[in-house]
Amino acid sequence: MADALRDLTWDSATSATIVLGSLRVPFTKMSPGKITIKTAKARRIGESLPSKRTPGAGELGDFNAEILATDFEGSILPRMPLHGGTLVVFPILISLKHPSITGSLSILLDQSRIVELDGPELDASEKELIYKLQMSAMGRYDKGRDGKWKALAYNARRPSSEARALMQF
Amino acid sequence: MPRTAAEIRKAAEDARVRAAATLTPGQADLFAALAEEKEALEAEAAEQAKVRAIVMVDRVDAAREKAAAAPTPYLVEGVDLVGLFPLGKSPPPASLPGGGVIVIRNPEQAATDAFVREAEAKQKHASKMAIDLACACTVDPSPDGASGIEVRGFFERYQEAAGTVAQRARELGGARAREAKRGQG
Repeated sequence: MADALRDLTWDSATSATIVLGSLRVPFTKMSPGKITIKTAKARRIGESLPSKRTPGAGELGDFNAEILATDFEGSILPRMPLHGGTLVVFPILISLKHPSITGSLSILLDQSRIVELDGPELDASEKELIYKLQMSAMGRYDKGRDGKWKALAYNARRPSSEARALMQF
Repeated sequence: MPRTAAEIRKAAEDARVRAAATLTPGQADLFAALAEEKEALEAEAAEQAKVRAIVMVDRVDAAREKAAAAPTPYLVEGVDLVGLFPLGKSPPPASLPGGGVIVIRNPEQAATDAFVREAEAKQKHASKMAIDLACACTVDPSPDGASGIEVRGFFERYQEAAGTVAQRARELGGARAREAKRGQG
């Protein structure tokens, strides 16, 4: 009984969801977009090692995710226009709970869009129907135990209104 | 041996004397000020509740018009979120969704189906189910965009409030809060 309760606690603790207003659409698999800051080090003539470095150009890579066909059909598809489903923009919130994390760890991917749709793969077995998505995000923020959302890159743009609402909680 | 009435009166008088000596004049004054402050805060909360009641009437009327015009008409009811908390203990109304007033509807069939499915599967905490149902039944503020995120954020922070709102939505859909006992209708 105690084990079952503990499993239930851990099962429901970590979540990765598309946030559509008050609705949360969970992923079955996803890896947050990788953010890279590319810098160049300028070496002056006569210098052995460069003494100057550029501020850096940030790049937030696209990422892959998977979602149940029932969630795609019930929550995502009704919100798409007839043409240009990539225009549907939403934040993605990932809340991580793990024995190695003492406080809380969250990741927010702002202004995300679906840029590739694949599946569901069909076969004659008792297998769940999964849509494979490739997604693009415009900003990544991480929050640790101090409760403040922080970004690796300097972003002159403010977070979207949805992201700001999420950041309050 | 039973005490006499005179002895009991004497003991009561002694207790009164001891009580009067417990507080210093300064402490007694401070206590009176605290009581006055509590009274003033309660009066302020009561006045604010009246303002919210007026706001609620307008919001419910607007929601009722929409509900009547919907392809499948539904019932609506206003909820004073501040009233869910003990008097004077609620978060500031300005920080609550809809300024402390929301409008709920009776659960859609899909929301009820999802609730029953989760309850039967026993894989989700009851509080999470209540949050989902409360969010699905809130029609004002809009469940879309930033306002919807605020509604969910409030219910996730105050899960007991979500349970109360979900229960009221179910009652609005005809669920009875207390099962009737056999022979009592």
